[in-house]
Amino acid sequence: MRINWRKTDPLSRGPVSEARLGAGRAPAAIGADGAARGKEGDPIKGTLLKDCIFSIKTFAGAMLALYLAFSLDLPRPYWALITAYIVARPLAGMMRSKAVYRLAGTLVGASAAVALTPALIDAPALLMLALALWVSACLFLSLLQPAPRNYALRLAGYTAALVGFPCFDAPGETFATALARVEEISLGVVCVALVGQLAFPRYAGRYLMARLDLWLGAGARWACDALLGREPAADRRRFVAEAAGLAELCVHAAYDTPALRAAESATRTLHARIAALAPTIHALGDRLGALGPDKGALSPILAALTKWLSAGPRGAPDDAIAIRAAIASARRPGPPPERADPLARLDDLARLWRECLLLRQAVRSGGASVSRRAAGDPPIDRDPEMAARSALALFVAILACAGASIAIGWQGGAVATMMAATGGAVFAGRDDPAGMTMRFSLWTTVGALFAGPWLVAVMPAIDGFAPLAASLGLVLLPIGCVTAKRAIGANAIAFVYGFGGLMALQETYLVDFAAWANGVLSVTVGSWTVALVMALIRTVSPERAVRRLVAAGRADLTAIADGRWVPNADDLVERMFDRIVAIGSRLAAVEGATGACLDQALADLASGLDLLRLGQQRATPFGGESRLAARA
Amino acid sequence: MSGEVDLCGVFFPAFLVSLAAALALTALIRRALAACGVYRLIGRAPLFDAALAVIVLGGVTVAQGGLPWR
Repeated sequence: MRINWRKTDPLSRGPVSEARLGAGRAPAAIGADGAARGKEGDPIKGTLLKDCIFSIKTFAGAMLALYLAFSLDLPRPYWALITAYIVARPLAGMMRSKAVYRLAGTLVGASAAVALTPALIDAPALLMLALALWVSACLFLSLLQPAPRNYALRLAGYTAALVGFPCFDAPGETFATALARVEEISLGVVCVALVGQLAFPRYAGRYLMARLDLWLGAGARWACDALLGREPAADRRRFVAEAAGLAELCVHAAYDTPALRAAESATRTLHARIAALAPTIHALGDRLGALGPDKGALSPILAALTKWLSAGPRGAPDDAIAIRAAIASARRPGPPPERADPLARLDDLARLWRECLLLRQAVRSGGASVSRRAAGDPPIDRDPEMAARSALALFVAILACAGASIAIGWQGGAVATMMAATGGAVFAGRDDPAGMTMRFSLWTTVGALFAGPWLVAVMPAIDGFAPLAASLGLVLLPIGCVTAKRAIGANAIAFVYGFGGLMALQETYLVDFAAWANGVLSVTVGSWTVALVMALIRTVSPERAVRRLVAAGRADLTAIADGRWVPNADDLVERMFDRIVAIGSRLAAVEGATGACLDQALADLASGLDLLRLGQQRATPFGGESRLAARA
Repeated sequence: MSGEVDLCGVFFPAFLVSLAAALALTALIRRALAACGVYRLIGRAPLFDAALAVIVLGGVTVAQGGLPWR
């Protein structure tokens, strides 16, 4: 028996979308905006009905793929079935981007294997080295790319491993394996994407609006905390958490519908504006806190601003005019205000909030008129060191598996190597790739064990496609309801992977215990090897990840202070805010975290903006004192 | 319609070539329609796209001299 080694990436999460908070948080909306919260808020966490529809859709797509694969006499029909389950995502945009990138990656990877193998087949050591290099290089590049696109590169990497390593045992079959893989992946992807797009599609756009409102609501609440002198920690955390959910959704919404694509630049601008609220609110809280309880002449302005902000995202944008006029008249005539002046910060807040509200209306109404920010890639925070460590770990793991199996002449070695390559590539982006790989292999084994009795007891009684589909539905329909869940989705997909892989035996209909044991053993050896190497080279504790993020922010500040880097303010906010979101997502995992590092990162962002303004105001390059300011 | 196309020693079914041509053509037509704002009048864009792709594929097949009902 052989375990199918098709890679599974249930939730392709890049470095940015990796940032999520625990599921337990309650989204916040303020006052009258409470209606915005609720089911619409979290697209992935749908209701039971939505889960069932999603499961039925996935099953229909998978069965269509399986039926076509059988009727076209493809060599491994169950690959199409497993692919369907891997690609299926609840939102149309998510699925579309994943399908496209999976197709492209598979094509490139299979071509690479076909190009490499014949040239080097006479020197297995060289071929092994070349494949390992290809896989690690692809992984390295993919970790430096933004979220949905990196999936193609990762897939290009390990598809080459999936096609290339079996040819150590069967050199003549490289092309056939490559062709079979490309055919079945395409079939699975196209079928499930077709069903997903045509039958009851769920678009990210609706959720996007609700999510934007929740984020704006959280921002307004946090701003009110700052204005009223309340303790902001909880609302600040919520604001960062909302941003994490939204970043992911924004990426998918771009693939969703043409209408949304038109509104994308408005959405992006709004995103940047809301992110810019963070340093403003933080600095305002600092300034007002320094004033003490007696606000003096500021009180009426604070009250008016608080009232306006309390209306949340439904406030009237034009209320800003009166408030900003009041701020302007409260200013003493004389030299232009310093940034430290709370009035200047209040004015910033009023201006930003007005822009947010206007942009929100623009996004709601289609948003084609807004084009302040050219559409392009958001500046992502690249971390070449971690990417290089992941790639090195994968390289070592592949060489260890392949080398050992060539040395001892182990037949299952190819499967072990492929498991190592896929496990490493799929989970390398996480903080804890070793644990994820182990969990995945555990659930694959559970799926394989579950399929055993099925294969022996149920399958012999089945003739024809309809009874087969019905019997598969008994297992796959309930499983399909949970494949989209955040916490256990990966396990469910690992289960389908093991289950489907074992079902693939049904063609040859050989219930051969030795082959089965070899398959299970090689999956285990492969995943343990990659987990071990990843644990040694790659895994970082959440504490360390947070420290690295804070340090990266400081490095940016130093670069700005030295005049080595002069970013655009929007880019700086986006880049540093991404880090803050990443810190926020890890806080739950850090023991005894008080949120002080979040506070610190926000303070760093605020000082970064101040440094930038300082740089613009001074014609001369920075001297030593601004370096001191950066370190303070 | 039957027959194969030789591309660098690899034989591809001719239908695959029609399919590729049809997809490229569909993408062009979609661009043009989107530019004209036609998609604002369409309720189910994916359904429309799928139907469009099938029609274009049919057209390409007929243009190549293949008649499915022959």
